[in-house]
Amino acid sequence: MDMNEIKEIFFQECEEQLAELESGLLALNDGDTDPETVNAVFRAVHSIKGGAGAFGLDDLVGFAHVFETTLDCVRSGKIDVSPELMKIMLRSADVLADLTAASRDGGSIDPSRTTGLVAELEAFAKGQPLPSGGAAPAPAEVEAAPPVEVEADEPVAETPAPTDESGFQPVPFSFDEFGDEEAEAGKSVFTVRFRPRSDLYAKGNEAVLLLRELGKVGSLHVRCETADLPSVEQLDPEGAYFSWLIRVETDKDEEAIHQVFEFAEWDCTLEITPGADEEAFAALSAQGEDQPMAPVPFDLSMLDDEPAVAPGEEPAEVAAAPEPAAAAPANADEAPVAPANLPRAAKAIAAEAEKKEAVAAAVPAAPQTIRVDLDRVDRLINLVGELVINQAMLAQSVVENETGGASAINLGLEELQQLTREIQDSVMAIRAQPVKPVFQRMGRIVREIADMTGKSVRLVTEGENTEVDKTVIDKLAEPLTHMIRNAVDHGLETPEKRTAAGKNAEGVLRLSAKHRSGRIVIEIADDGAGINRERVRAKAIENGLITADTNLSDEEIDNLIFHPGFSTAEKLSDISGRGVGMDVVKRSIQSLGGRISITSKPGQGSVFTMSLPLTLAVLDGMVVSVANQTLVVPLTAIVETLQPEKADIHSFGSSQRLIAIRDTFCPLVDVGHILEFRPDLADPINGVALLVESEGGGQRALMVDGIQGQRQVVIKSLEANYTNVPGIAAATILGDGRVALILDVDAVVTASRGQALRPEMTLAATG
Amino acid sequence: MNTTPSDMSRDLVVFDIGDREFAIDNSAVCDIRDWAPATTLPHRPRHIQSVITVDGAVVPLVDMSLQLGLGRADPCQRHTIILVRPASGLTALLVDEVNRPIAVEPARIQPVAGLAPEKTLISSMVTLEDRMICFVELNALSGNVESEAA
Repeated sequence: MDMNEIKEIFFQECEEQLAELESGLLALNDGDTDPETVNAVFRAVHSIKGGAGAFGLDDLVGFAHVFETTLDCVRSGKIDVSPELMKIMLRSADVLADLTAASRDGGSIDPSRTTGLVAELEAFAKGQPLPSGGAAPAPAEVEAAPPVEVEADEPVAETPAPTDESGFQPVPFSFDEFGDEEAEAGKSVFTVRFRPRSDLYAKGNEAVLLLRELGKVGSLHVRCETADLPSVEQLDPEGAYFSWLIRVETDKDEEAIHQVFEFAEWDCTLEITPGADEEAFAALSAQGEDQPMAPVPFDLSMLDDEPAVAPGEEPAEVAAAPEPAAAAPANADEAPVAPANLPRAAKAIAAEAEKKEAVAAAVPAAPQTIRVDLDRVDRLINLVGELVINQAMLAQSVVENETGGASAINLGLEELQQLTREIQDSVMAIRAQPVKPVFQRMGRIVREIADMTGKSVRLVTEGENTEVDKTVIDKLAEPLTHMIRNAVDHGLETPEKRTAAGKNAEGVLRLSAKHRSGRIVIEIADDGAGINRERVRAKAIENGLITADTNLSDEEIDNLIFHPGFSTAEKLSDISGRGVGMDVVKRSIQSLGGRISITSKPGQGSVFTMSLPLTLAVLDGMVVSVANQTLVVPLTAIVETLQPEKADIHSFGSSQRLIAIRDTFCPLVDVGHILEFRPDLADPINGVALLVESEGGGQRALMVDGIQGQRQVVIKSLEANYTNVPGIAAATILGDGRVALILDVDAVVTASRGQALRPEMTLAATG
Repeated sequence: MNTTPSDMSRDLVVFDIGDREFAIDNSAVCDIRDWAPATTLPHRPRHIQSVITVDGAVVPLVDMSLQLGLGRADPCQRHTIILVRPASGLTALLVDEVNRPIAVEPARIQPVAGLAPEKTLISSMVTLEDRMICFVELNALSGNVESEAA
């Protein structure tokens, strides 16, 4: 693995960390006070900083460091989470994401963006009063280096600070006058609770080494907490059971203590509180005295013979074991082996005990994940698609061969079908991802647009754990971005207008996802002014989309905004102008096999609803026959099917025909003819018309010979071995093993447009 | 066209169309299968008229009879399908029948010139005892397919 590959992994992880960061910040923003949330946010930034440091990405490290420092203040409770702070932090998260992207793609970002934020972050980190009067992070007068003093067993309160070899006299203190004296001396006292998890040892870290390192920061009083040590039977030999209570007396700040644990922090629980926790020490001392300190010898065979009796006695026996560990820090040579050795020594015992009782896990395991190359998953999906087809073929041939009484075969087939379906579902589930990352990205877009437009917007997301195929997710971001921009730019009013209308100055944008009948439905709802139908109508007339006397229903007017080139913004703004309108959104959603619609209430806001297939690997289609060929028409394109009557058909020129559907005339397209399956136009009376909607909103009646049924089909690419075929989107394989082509409705409609009526005619003919 | 100057003999897959014999290089052949119904493509492209499914992939089916200027084949159970993989991707060739493969010395594959344009697929002939076997250049086939697609 070369450096670039490692770097690539780093950036992948950055993406995850950034997502974690964002979701944590959003949770905090919503009033989450769980310290673990703050920790998660801090960890995310810290990990990015660490990785960036390894790759020498100085810009990233610099910014992450400042961000981290501020977060650390939040984490330790030095500063409170205020809305102002949250705003800065969210913006910092955005900048951090940009810096990461710039580092990956080799670009750079405007330095003014970072410098401003850095200043603000630093102000937050420094400008707030610190909670404990004595604990100044950077004392002005630095005393002589404190002695390294590590004590394990003596109760802290009685400890007179001894003189070390270098002859320094540590400052004596008593708990009673702790705060004041510390302040005078320029020293701070911190109570550190250090509880390693088994991972810490597994990764080759060593509690004793960390403690020794901590000893370099200031003088220590260390107590080992052994209360968690289980009985030997329950002891996980690889587990971690000790924790340490440490009082650090130092002239450095909390950051210095954090630095000691920098590489172990994720594998332990670390609590650093300013001041000394007398009670905790006292409690521990008392506990320590109660425990028998001398190892009690015991017979291994006893464990074997009388397992039921043993547990009662064991705690006492095992409690003795930590003694060397607790004392260890005092003796540097012995120290490193002690905690690691203990589990190893206990291993033999535990191995015996294991037979009788399952080893209790020290920490409940988080759901494990693996990174898998997407190609492998795709291959698996393809194979499962094969399996589904094959199973259908097998079933069909069994039916054809009339096995008669061979019920075992039929039964087996049914089971096979069941299994196949389950496998297909499971494989699809592998690629299914929650929409959360996309939704999170929208948070940022809302913030940016809100800043640019001077509007105040709150984004509320719902159902962000709704899962959908990865291919869909990847293609979701773009249309969603457009729609969000549109909703903020056009949908929501300015705070002044909102206040004037008696609404809360802060607009609410609701982004929600849910599953509905095998599809994912995403809604973007704003509580803005709703669609100004008068303006839309005027604009449509101005653009020649409709004539002045066209009578349109409210819904039809609303849907005009999806018409190509339609933009209601009075001035083209940077945000949603430039001709990229809702028609583009609609087209990209349709290309995903989705649909989009809008409902709007004047003064109350608009709701855009899009429904998308859960996967792009399968498609719901209508199987039709055309000139002895079997074709599949995507169900999403079909508005309705109808049986043409002779009276409804009107010929138009030599080859053009219109069909009257209720009050509308719609061009009739003979699919068999346009695909050149037959030279002549077929008689519509013998066929079925599928009313389809194509891009641009125009409707066409596609004429086919007959409908065979509706089916879910596995999409196969034609391009893989051939090339794309005009009018054909892809192919699939039917139960009889034959290829069926999937019709590209838009292409067929476009092809028919050459001689056909302009799409606007359809609209103008309405009413 | 002269083939690789090698002392090694070349393995050829020989197939019939009508009463004529053709050969393709064995190394390009992936599989030989029974005929299966194909799906006609719209617009009736000249060379690739239909597609079939091979192990779940959709593969274009080339009517070799039409390609070689022997008239359009009327696909039925008698036909055989040879799967080849030229540069353009997996392709199925519709032929009448596949004969026993042969091994010939490269010297026996002799270039021919002056053939009609639709026969450019054949750039050389194999003479073997009393047999005259046309050697089909598969990459020329894919060239045809591509120009068709363009």
